[in-house]
Amino acid sequence: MHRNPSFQSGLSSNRNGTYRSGGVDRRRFLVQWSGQMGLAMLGLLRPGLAAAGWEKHSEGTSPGTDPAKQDRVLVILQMTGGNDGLNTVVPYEDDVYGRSRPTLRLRRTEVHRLTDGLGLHPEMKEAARLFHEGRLSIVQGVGYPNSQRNHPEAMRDWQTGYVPGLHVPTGWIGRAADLILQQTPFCLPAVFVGRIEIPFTLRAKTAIIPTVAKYPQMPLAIKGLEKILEKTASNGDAASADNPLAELADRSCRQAIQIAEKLQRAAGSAQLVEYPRFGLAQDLQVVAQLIRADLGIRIFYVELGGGGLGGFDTHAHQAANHGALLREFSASVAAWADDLAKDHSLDRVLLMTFSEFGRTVRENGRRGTDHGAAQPILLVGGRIRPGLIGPHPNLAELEANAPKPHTDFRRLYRTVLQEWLGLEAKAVLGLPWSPVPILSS
Amino acid sequence: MGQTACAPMEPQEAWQRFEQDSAWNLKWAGHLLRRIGFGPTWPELQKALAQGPQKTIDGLFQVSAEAEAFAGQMDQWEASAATLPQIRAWWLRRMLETPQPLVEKMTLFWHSQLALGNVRNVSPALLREYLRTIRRYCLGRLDSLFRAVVLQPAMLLSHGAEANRKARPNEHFARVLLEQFSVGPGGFTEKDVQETARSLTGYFVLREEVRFIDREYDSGPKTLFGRSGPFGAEELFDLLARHPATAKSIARKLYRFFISEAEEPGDALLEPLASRLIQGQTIGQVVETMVRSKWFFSLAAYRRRVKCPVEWALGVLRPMEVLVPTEPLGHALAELGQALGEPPTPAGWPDGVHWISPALLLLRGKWSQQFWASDSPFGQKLDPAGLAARHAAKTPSAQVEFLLNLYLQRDLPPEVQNKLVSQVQWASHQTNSNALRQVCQTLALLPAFQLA
Repeated sequence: MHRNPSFQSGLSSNRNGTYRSGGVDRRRFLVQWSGQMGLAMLGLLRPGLAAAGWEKHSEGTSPGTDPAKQDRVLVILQMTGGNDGLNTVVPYEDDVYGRSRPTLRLRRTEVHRLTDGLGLHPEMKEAARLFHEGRLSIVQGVGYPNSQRNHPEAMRDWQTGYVPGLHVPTGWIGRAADLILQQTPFCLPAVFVGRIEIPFTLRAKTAIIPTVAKYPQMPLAIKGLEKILEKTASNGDAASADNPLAELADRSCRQAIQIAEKLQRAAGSAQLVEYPRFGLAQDLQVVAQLIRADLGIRIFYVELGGGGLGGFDTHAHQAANHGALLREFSASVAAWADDLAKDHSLDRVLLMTFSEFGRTVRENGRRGTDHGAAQPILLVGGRIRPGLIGPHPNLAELEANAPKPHTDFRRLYRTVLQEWLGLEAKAVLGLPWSPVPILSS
Repeated sequence: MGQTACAPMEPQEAWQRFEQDSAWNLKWAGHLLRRIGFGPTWPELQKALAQGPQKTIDGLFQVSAEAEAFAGQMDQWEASAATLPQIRAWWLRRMLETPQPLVEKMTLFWHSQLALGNVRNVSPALLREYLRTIRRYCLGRLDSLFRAVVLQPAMLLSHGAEANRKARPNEHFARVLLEQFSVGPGGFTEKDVQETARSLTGYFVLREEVRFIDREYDSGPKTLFGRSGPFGAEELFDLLARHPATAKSIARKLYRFFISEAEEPGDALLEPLASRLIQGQTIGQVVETMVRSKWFFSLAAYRRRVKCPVEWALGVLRPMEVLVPTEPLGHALAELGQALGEPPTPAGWPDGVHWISPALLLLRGKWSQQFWASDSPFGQKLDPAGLAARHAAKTPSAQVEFLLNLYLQRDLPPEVQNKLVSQVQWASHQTNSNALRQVCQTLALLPAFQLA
């Protein structure tokens, strides 16, 4: 704890500065603390009420954080395998596109038209509806210079927020989680909702990012603990004598009980929307429940494609496989957005997709496409700038047979970190990238 | 001991041998055995109580014939472990059953301090060899430990340092070595990083073995920490081990591991430990000084560390005196944030308060329930009622009191103890065993039980 001096000072004084850990009677402390619980169920978990760093947050002076944005949530959706951007956001009137894809070409009559010459894949009906409602936007032509075209290296670049020449042992989400934890000690900054091995991008120095496969129930053991701790000091004399850790442990146990109750309440609340029977839909439903439970989690990470080979890596017989994945994406994300929109939760949520790369323009002779470069990034949320952001890549100017990027993905990272979550992006990305106008003003 | 022990001590007095046998009781026996091992059993607590502190410590530092036989047997069995989960399972079994818990405790310590990078580049055989090497050198001299562990194939591969060419010295790994493993942040310059990298040139991992290739070694003169010479790896490890900043950094880490994470120790308190390391005392000797001391048996150390998931889970399971399936235990630990074999970064696992956030405690709640559920792979093996009866606790309330002594040495406020006892008293006789399981499930989540 001495790594963070503000943390320690938070322990020895309450917000009036009257409480001293050693000197004051424990009972009074407990009473004061439970009074705070009435204000915000989670005490430490909710930014602003964190016992540690309380003063910082209340004054809004903490560096690199914007208190007005602290209830905002970021959801990252990883599309594993390299999504074919040209058959996701389809330039159906483009000659190069038409000529290069004898079997995979999607026609005007099939796609869901977005604007002149551009439409979404036939399986993305629901996504097209979100687009027209202004709740789904598309950032076109995203990538980076000299991008990698093999899976592990490209995925590593996207997951670390690649800084040339620098070895990074952590992912960009992990570093963001560390930053959030530093500013709101004791919180749960991020979780992974999925069934694959935890992605590298969630590697953090101090934050521990758990994997959640299904909505967590309140363990019975916690109920037992609640009974025992009710109206009772928990630590024996020897442990509690002037021991900040004993106090923290006590406080943390009581807060765990509070979280468990919140989780239970959120699980019991009526479901607002029917989710389709897709894996991604189930994961997103868990995300929605956790957002509603209001635990202070800032970043959720979900995945589509299975994590290993296959998935979006459509080298052969692309049409059916790609269509199935896009159907899963479209139906799941739409149900989720509709669900969150019912109680306006969507206004504090932003979902961003990414894949390790886009794919080549030309079909490869096996009714598939190969690893490419630029890709469209899909955004879903209640406060995004509607429509298409940036031009479609010019297919007359390719980069080794693939669409050429014009928008660096780290500019998007910067925007979601700083403009959306209110974090200092440079502390996570190392370089001062400029923002992309993706948010509604 | 007692309350007066909380009074500040002069640094030279702090590390003096603790001789106050009259204050020795179950609580302090629990403290000693928790710190130097994992969740003591009732017979271990009773033996320590009878022997007194110093004699107990004598035993903990001795390598008995039994311990040697156990290690030999485990080495043999472990050789068949072909996957990371299996390697974890064997290690956890060692922790559960070893007659010499200090060795496993120190292996855990160094596994986090001399951490691997990306283990996906490392085969199970190499990971096993790395852990075996740490286990072998964990209590020896610092320079031998560095020499043995830093040049492990697993270490070089996981940090991307498998080819240390003369033309391209690996500054990334040199930085890890200086910053994480030895002198610590701020204790070195960019020039030191370059010279360290040059000193390691010539080492390659070829077909999973470390080879020294002479023509790739930069034999030119180097200047490191104010000394000059044509240093190679040998000289480098000597320089690092004898560097005062290394000694102080290691002493500080040992202090956090054995004494307290609650306060930052002052220089005066660390200096006697650091100077022992510089003089070439073994890590074991320094640890021994620490745990035999007045400071160790004072309130400044008592329950002033947070249990990491391994300490927490073994603290729940080991006192039950049975073997539980350790492969699922390894998965449980991964979910709790401590995937053995895969530390999150080269800096190892975070410690202290990072382990007791409310969300992680909720996860401990989930696993406490799993451990004690009578139909889980763990719960099937655990029999708290039977164990209590075997140790002569027959009535329900005596059994709860036994468990309170076993797990927390009754260091709880009377109200909490009364509530737990009444939980069982009200249960009918048939459900007594389940009621005891529920007590254990709750005990594992009490704030005091989160602290070592």
